[in-house]
Amino acid sequence: MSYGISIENESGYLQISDSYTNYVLVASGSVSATAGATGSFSGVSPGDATITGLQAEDIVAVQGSFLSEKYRTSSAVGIYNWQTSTQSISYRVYRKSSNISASTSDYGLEVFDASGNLRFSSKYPPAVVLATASTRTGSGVSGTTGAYACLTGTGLVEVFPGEEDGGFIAGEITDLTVSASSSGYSAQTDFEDNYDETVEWQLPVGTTKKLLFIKE
Amino acid sequence: MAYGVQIFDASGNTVLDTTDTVGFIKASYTGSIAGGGTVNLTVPAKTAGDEVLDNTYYTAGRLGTLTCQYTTSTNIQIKSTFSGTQSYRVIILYRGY
Repeated sequence: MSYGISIENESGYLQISDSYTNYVLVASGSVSATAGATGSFSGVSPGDATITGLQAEDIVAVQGSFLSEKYRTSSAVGIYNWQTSTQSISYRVYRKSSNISASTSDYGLEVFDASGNLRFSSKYPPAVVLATASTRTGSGVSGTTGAYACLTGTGLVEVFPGEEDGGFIAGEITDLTVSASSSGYSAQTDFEDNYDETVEWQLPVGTTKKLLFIKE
Repeated sequence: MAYGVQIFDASGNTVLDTTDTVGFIKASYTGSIAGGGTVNLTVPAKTAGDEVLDNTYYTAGRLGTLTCQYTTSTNIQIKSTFSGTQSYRVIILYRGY
């Protein structure tokens, strides 16, 4: 790079650049989820909650227990609550920095690319990535207590903030069953968490679901 | 401290520290995928720290799952278990290293 700005952290990882767009925090809060109808993970009628005010390409990260995405549009996301009790779900909305407006304040730091697109603004905290996890490997993630887990399509996301086991997220995938249907082969797996409970998770054969965890 | 930046908000809370790893958007793709189908995307060469995530729009009650993953360093494969056509939105997230 012959011009522009590039800032790396202690490990040489890029933190600020005029060449890449960040995801930045634009909204946060909590919503109340209604309770699910049963205590089982099979045949359960989940409760739900809704987060609104989104824009296209936003990503939503949540903190709660036994949650999954119900639906997603350009302006809202619905969340299933698979618990039989109500719960308060903390959420954060991250937006492409190129989709936010430059600050009008007279202090801070903003970085633009050669086309004038906003690449970084100190007004908006960037999404700090703690870890990613791959469901199929069943490796789980440790040390992410209090993390926000991104809702990523139709997969299930579990987060156990502050639990005595250290906040392990996810666990082993067990009892893999492969079956054929009119839409092709699919795999029904049991996703075992740290409480020896299982959660159904459907994935196409030979695929993984990547999860993203963001620093609180 | 050798490198990096620290950024604080107006209350003195740290919003970016010298050890933090930031998520950047390397590329994003949208399209549609047939029920039970597969779509291959040619993408920029994968580097360390790249992850592909889906951020798909879909309606409540649709049964199925989309997954997306690298099959080679320049190919991402999307698979669907939905019974009908489904849109997809995938993001390549670059973690800065």
